Amino acid sequence: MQIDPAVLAILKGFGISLGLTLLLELFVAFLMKIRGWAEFLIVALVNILTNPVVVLLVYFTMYRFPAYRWPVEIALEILVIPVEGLLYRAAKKSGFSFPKPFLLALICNLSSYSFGLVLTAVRAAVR
Amino acid sequence: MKKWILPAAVMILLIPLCVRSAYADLISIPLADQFYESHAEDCVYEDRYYTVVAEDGAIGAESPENLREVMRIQPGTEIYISYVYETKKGLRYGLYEELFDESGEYLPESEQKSGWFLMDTLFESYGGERFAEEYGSEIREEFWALSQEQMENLKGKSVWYYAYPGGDGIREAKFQEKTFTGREHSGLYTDPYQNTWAFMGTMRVRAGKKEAVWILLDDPAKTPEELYQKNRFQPDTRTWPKGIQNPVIPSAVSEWKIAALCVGIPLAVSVVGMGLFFLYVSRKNRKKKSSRK
Repeated sequence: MQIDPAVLAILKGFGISLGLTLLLELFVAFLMKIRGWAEFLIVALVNILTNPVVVLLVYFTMYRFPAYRWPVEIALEILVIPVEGLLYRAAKKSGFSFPKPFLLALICNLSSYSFGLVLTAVRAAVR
Repeated sequence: MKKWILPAAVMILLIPLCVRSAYADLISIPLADQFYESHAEDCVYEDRYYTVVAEDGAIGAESPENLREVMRIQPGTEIYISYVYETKKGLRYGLYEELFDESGEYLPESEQKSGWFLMDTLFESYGGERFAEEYGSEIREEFWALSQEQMENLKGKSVWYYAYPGGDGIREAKFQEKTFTGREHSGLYTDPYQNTWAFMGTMRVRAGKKEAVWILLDDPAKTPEELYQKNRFQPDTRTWPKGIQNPVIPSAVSEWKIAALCVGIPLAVSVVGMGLFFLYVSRKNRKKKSSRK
């Protein structure tokens, strides 16, 4: 089956976004003294859960209501912090080692968002 | 632990250099043209202006392989084609990117778009390069400069720039003395109606590429309408194609299908992530409870 290039391009965008986010947030989790493969797997699953939905909503806003892209993007980024915090807390209650779940969610998301902004700036400068 | 930090940080900082299309978390940077990004090696640098000749307007397709219409440009409009891609069927498509607004300012990335135009629906615009090829022997390699009186008269007015003598005005810009005094200019051409044109050099005066720029030396502020009111020198003697129509394009993949896939797949990934998360957490929970017992 030949995949339509438009679908392929959009899915590639999702894939790259998720891949980079996973890489960065796992690294930040490591810096925040999260150890153990089970905990890393939880960090990865939490991002697999939230990232595609958030990117989907941002894409939708970008193409349908481009003027609202930034407010929506920032609102979603803020919203995703307590959601991820709750998920880490749920994992902590089940015995996973997440000493400060909300702080982890906050720092991970701030880092990945800032990294995204830096990438945007680098790309703009290269152009 | 510290041994890990530096190499890992360097690796992360190097990512922007390796990824041409940058995405991270919420930031997704729209690509100038995704088809070009993935087929750059098969695209030939064209770097020329073309005029739309298709009577129903030139249709910009998403890519030469996906002919979904993403933009349509009115007949007579001039567009800058940067690259051309030839399909296996021998059809040539040119890439046009809409990156600037009418005032020449960069559009926000979310509003930038690009399209692939069937080259058969376009006709190469007559430009400075072609003029130089055809009339080069009549261009006098003489230095020229605006007289002091002309400079005084031009203060506060606009100057009209042309791609070649007899062409349409490509840009009107406020007169700035430094543009004419900063360096020496050479190249003069007198058209059959005794208008003297002066070559400014190669400049980027409009979105697209650097191109040859001429002014009407007799009166740089004269508008093209005033200039061509009586007679107009037409160096372009080519016969422009007529009756060009867009080919009938077989219906592309349904937009609903694309939308369903683009929404469905990420949501499915997210649901799978959620399922695995709760499965994993509840398993750990059970283990914890059983170990307590």
